[in-house]
Amino acid sequence: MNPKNKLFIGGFCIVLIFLYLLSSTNLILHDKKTEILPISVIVEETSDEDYEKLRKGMDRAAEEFHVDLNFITLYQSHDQEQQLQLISREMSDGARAVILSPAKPEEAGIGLEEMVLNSPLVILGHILPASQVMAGVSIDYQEAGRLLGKAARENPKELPVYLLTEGLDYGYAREIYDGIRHELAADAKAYNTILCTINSPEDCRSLIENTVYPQKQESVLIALDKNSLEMAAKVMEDSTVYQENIRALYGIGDTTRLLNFLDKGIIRGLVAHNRFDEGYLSIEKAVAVITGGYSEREELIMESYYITREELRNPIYEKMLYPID
Amino acid sequence: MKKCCILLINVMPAAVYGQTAAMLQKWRMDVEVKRIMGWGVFIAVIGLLAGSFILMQGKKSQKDPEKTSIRIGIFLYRGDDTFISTIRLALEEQAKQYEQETGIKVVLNIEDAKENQNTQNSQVERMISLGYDALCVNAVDRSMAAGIIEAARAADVPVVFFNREPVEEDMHLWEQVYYVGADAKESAVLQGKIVVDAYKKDPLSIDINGDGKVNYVLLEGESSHQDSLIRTEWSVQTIKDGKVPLEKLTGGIANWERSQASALTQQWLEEFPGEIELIISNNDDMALGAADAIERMGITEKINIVGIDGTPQGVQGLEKGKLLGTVQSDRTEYAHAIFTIAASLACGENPGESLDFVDEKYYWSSQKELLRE
Repeated sequence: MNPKNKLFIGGFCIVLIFLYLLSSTNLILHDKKTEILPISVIVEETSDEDYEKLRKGMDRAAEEFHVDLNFITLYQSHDQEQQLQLISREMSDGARAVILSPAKPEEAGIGLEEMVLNSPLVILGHILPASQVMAGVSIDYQEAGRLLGKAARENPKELPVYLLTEGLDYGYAREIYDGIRHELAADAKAYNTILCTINSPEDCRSLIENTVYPQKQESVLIALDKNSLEMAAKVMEDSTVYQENIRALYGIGDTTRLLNFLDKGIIRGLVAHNRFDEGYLSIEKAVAVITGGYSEREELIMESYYITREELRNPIYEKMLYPID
Repeated sequence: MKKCCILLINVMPAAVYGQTAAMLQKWRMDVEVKRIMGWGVFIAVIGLLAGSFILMQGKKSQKDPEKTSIRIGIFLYRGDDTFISTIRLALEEQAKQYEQETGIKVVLNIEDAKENQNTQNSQVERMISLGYDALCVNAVDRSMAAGIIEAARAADVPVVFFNREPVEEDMHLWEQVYYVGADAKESAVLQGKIVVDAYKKDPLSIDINGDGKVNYVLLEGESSHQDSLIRTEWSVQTIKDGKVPLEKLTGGIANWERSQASALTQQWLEEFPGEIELIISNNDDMALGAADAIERMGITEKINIVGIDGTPQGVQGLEKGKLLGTVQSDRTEYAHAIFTIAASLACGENPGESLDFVDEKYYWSSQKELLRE
């Protein structure tokens, strides 16, 4: 073999090796590395089953913004202490931001002020004054309460209005309560509102039973949270007597079960929010905070909608309540 | 070249000779240096290749000896399936229990494929790319599990299938593939036994019109689901073996869904007025759908309905007297098995140490009959 050929074969081998290194390894050309942002979301319930729409929005944003989402539920519903512990745990485990839907907003605000946070905190659903909060996607629950109160005003003033709640300290119940009271007390002759704490389905059943026996008294029910609303709707579903005696049941929420109750006519009207957008925007805001997009606290308030059975098939609400993946 | 140089030296005068010899010496040295350098480069390239290969292998086999957190992806074929949603809740409970008992943080990411295999495939790919430690898959199309297994194998992420059993060939594609389910034959035999026992106790409770034959209709699950075929076959066979004089009026596929079953049953009730005495359903949701149709049509004559799964809604149906009986699969045990396999594999442990497998890959959850009191 002449030297030229040797040189050619040698060169060819080198080119082959170079091409191999180029195509199969990261030694020469480095892949553009996309930074994945770990973000944790802490909610107030024990299961993520009722957060379907919120998660859809979050998942969409997570794909768009290269976020590794960790959706965390609690060992016990509304356990504010655990939520605060989880914030610390997630931040020390490397979460670049934490999104929190506080179980008890007031307690959360106090607890957060005492904490030193390593990563930004974004609040979901509430307006928290805590200085640690970098951004928030909030809902004006007083406005939601006013919408419910306004709807309840279609009933005669003689009927007592029972306000059902798991407790005013939980979630957004107090704000809704204030909104309803404000609306129902607007006229000269105010409605008779009775606040009832419901801790179990049995509590709810006995409350509704009491409107029928021993003395029949037509009533109006407004649930201040989705769990109370679901309990009341379930009790009413089982009995036509209750359905006749309870003039109307109103509440807040948008889970599939609640929408089915609305569709069946057991719930008269629901206040709902665009949960998909809420989820999407919370991730977008968290990413913006991580990447230094905001110089000061950024807050966005979502709109509340009052929806009746007739409006359930309205394309605008349909898109909002049944978002497609 | 070398020969030419030697020839040239031989014919040169002595003065030039010394100079040329020195040049030749330098040239020789240059050649030698180049040769050494060439070998050096060659060895370096080989070394580089070997190094990168070893590095890649090392990365593959590297296992975290002490895990402080595990990430498990759960993939559901349809999140609104009643049975699947009970398993989902039980899995969440299992994860929390495990976290409290071991102190190992569990990241559980639950995805709903909404009956779309392509969606599920991309969900699986995403979790693999995010570095999840184990995958629990309730496959949309059980015959398409090979793609998921191959993707998981390439990333060395173990897979636990549940409820929708992949074909045997796919199950043996990789040793890190497991299946958790309820034995369909056992469910069907128990369902049949509910009818047989009731008939033996009081024939007229099943043969309602007392004509010596029990007219039944059959509600079947998806035709592509392994359990659907087995449940149908063995339930009817068990009832026949129990000497109940069965006579089939009709049957149809309601795809495990309450609404579809309700529509089908209404159609049959109109087609066979007063004739249907027994409704055998492959699951509780369809059984409740049949009860809905009976209620909707205002039929007051007794029609017995039997289901399978023992979902909370099914049990409620029993309590309200809508169903004659159901077969309950222990959802806590079911979810415990899925979670234990996934968590053990994620931590590099052998799940066989805590669970008993059939054929090293299959775990069958226990079942029991539930009757209307």
